[in-house]
Amino acid sequence: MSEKGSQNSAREHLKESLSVSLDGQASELELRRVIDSIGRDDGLRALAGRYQLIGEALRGNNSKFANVDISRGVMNAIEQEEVDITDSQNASGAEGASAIRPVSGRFFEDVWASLGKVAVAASVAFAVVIGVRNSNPSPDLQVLAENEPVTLTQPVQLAQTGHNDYGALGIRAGYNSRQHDAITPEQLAYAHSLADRATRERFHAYALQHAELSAMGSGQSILSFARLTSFDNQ
Amino acid sequence: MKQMQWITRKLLILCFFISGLLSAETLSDAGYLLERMAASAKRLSFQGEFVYQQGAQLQTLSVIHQAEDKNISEKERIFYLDGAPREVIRSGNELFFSSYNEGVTKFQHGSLMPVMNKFQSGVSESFYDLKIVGIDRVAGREAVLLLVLPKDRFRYGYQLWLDQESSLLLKSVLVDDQGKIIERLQFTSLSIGQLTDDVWALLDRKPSSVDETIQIRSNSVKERSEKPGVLPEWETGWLPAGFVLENSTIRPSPVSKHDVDALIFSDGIATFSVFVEQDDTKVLSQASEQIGALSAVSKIYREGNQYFHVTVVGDIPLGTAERVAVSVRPVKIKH
Repeated sequence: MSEKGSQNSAREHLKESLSVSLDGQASELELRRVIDSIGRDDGLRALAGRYQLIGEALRGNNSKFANVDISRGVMNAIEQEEVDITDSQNASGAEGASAIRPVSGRFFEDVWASLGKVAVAASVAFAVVIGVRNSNPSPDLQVLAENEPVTLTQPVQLAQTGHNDYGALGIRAGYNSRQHDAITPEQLAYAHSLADRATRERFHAYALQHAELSAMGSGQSILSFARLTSFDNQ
Repeated sequence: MKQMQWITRKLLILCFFISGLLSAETLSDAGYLLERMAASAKRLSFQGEFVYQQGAQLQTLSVIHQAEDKNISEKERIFYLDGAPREVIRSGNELFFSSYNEGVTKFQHGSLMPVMNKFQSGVSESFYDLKIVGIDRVAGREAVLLLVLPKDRFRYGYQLWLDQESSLLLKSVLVDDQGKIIERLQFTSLSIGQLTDDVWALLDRKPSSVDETIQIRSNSVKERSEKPGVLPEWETGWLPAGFVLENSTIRPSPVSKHDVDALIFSDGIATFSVFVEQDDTKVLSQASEQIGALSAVSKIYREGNQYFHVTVVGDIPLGTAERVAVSVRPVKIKH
């Protein structure tokens, strides 16, 4: 069997793994393999975006973008996928005039590009894919997405912070059981676990940055770096 | 006989310190010891092994430290002896963190960071009660036991065992406001003085290849504020009394393509960092985690259509980190 044939077979296998991952059915090993590949394979990344869009369209208007024409978005996205990727790379900050076309393409571009340095970033995307696809915001939530460009990929809510002098507003990302009554508890748990893992990876990354800052500023490296072992053992 | 002599000597020294406790000079003595501890960690060459305990986890690490000399910059190597091999090499304004799993990260500062206001007498004493409570023995060396007790609940307390001869830190126990031990660091062997050539060679062995270089710029450069559309600078709306901004830098984010503003605060004993970066994902929500001495909190800050991820990490109680995180806001430019 030729080397090319073997590569094709491996790629087909990877596509299958991707599909299974998007369905939340992948094993840990399979997910890791997809995550590792998707970070460096533009084609696979584009395919993931396409699968997601198609999945949303097939599931009909039960997504948070129910008020927009998803099917038209799918067609546009597939036809202009390459253009989208280029656009989103070049036009950072410029919100798309179209309310539909950039949703998934930009979402994936944003997620992959912005979190590409850590492999677990892929987990976040999967968590969102799984968590968002059937999200159905409760009417009692003040959903910012109603008035926001569709670059928002999660229904978000301003936290009830009351009156304070603090600058930050907590925003909940929408992993709320009431918003996910259409998805299975297993899928929700899976999304939760992936999101938790992403958060842990994020904290781990910043714990290292903090250790470095602390060590270089004070010359006291020992405690700062010993503490990183706590994160390693999680 | 030798043991008897040691105990007698210990008792005498203990009496000396107990009498010292009664005098008005005690606090400044303790403050002086803290200052000396910080200075010794920089001006002395030493090598040793120590254990770090947090919860049920116990890790062994080794350290080699070369003091700054006329022609040599300060160097240090910390090696993790348990689990996956990892090491830290610090030399001048460079720091390498090598991990078997994650490769080599090089932190490159444009210039040496200004020395933090750490362990300075007078600074720490306003927010901590410092007490010398006795003499003990750690890693075969006589040590002075120093209590560093916080005056409020926004910080942790320490028990520090300092080498009686050099004031180097031999053992550190971190306790919360209930007196519960959070972490323990303790040298098991330590030799102070000139490093041998073999050991010196270990210090000079930088990683042959680097997987990621993090170029760190000082945030004192105001160029970016003059450019339209550039991220704002950040400040905290609330800080526990005594914490001051020690340094502010800009560096590439470890988790996104954006730059991140990194601010470090210290009260002379504890430190925490605040990281702020633009958030494109709109995915991650607020989260908090406490692992041992380190508290980590992340929040989302919204400014118009832009979202920012605020992350606070440091050896402070989780409640303190939470309060700091929600108070982070862009610096409003006054015209």
